[in-house]
Amino acid sequence: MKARQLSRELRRIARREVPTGEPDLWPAIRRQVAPRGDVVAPSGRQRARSTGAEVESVYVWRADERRRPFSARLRARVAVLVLVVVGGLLTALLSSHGGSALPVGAGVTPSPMAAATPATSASWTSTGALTIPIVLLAVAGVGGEVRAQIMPSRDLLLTFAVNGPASELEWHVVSGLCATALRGTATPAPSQDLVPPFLAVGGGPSPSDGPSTHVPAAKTHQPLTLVAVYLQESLPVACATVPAVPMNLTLTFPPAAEVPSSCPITRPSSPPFVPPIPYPSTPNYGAQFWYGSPALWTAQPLGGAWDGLPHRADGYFQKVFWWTPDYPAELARDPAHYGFPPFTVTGRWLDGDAPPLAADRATNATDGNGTSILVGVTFPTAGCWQVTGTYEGHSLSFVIWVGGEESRVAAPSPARASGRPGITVVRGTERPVRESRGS
Amino acid sequence: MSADEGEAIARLRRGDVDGPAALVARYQTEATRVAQLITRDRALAEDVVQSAFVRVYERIEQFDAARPFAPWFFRMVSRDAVKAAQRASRQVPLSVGPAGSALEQVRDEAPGPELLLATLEQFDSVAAALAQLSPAERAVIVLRYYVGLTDREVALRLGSPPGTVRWWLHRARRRLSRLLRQPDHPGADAGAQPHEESEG
Repeated sequence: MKARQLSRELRRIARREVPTGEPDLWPAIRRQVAPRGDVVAPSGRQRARSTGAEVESVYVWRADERRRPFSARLRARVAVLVLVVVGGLLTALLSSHGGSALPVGAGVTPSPMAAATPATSASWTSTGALTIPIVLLAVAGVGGEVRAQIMPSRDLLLTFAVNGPASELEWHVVSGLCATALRGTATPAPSQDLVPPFLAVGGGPSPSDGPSTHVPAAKTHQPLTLVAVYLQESLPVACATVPAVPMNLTLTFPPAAEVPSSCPITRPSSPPFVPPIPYPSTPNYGAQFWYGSPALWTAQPLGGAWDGLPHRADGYFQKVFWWTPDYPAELARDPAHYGFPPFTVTGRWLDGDAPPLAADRATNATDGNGTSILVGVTFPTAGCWQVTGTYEGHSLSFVIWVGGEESRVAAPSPARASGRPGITVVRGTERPVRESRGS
Repeated sequence: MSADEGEAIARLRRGDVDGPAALVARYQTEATRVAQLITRDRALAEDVVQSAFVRVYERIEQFDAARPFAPWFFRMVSRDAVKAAQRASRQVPLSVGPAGSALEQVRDEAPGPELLLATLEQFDSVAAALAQLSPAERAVIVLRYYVGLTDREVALRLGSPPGTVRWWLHRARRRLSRLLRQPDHPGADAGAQPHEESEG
């Protein structure tokens, strides 16, 4: 083979193996050259890797130990140490006062629902309050990245990537903590509301930005970025409406409809059932608890009753939500294409003979609790019902007291609490509908 | 150097993190091809090129703006590609590669003629033969016959003495022609050896 022929062959191989126009390295390079403390807005809409939920905004705080002089590293470590101590004290202080101590301001407005949530007494230990500062310390010390993703549901998902010498640890720590408070406004405000002003330097990126928006942060803002990320995390933890890890959880049942003692309503298991990661450890609806198994679970009212249900010609109507890891967001996103979930719901009236309950075709719903299967159920009569849901060989039954408007009591009702503010329901190919609270 | 390159480098010197965008757009494909030819691994090649661009951003002060950008950049790419390929060749891949399974490679370090023949039958002749060379040999072949550099320029690019580069080139050509002379090889050109063209 002559030299010219070899050259020609090499060019042919090169063109075949790396076609013209490939690769597109700029996004990855751009992330790497972003200075510490920079806030990088996503290019277009993204999806969270863990839940598949759409992400509105991504804010990244990066630390690269190798580029920093020793004095800067020392200052960073001292600053983080102070943050850990102060944040820990703040967290402990707020936790000791319960949810009512959540400071108003800071972009977080307690929702009317949170305020109306019946009193619950909970003793819990939050690993989040301890682990997150430690991870931040590690990120500041050895380099890494903190990524805060704000979901349309107003949930905050923090992701830490700590760059070690040989491996990278990616840890999804928080999903939907204290989302009841964060999701309090009836009309969701722009996501920047959740970002402290000093983080959104330069006007801040807009979620609707098409091209990548780079917001350079001044050097003086870098520690503030860290504070922002820390406060974003510590305050929701401190508000304590949703414990990060419910240990020794004790619940005081709220006043609800008068449920006869003959009705064996489903109560929280002991210890409480906690769904697998990344689902929140308790439902984000207030006055409810998770019930079921890691394969299939649902949210149940603490009082064991759905009262105040709308009465239709054929009975009392309620939407029942079921969660399973086997129903991924990819399927839920386009039910018309992938088919509706083969979920069946049956029911039995425990007070005697009654016509069976009628269940609508299952569809999907997505909110701060992740993707769920939604089934509209019509109970032909009020009373004590055993409801059973079945999906992919997994079954789950619970007993609930069903009542209409006439059974409503003065106290906040679980049924009303089960209204899902801000939930996005997708039916077939219709446009997503944002339901109003309490619908 | 084109006006776009000059502008991109000026932006880089001002610390503009979006400065490399134009350089990336212009050189990423060609740099990836060079790295791919040397490493024979697409993912590794992209890593090499990506790291090289990041290094351009970090070390732009070391670049002499009076000189063209491409040689300076491709020197980094080719050196890094050789190092990356050498590192990779020291690791036993878990996936089945052109020369057989990882276990086969461990058991039989020098592939026999049957294995070599089977390999050459499966893959494009020159590409397969190229994969049999060491990373340094591949680098000199690529720089000499793909990029079109002279021996002296190849030596400068790889940061090796010219005598060493000439030896690599000689050995690589000999191995290439031996591989391409395998019987039943579709691209075999018996008796032909790559020979030097006049350097220009």
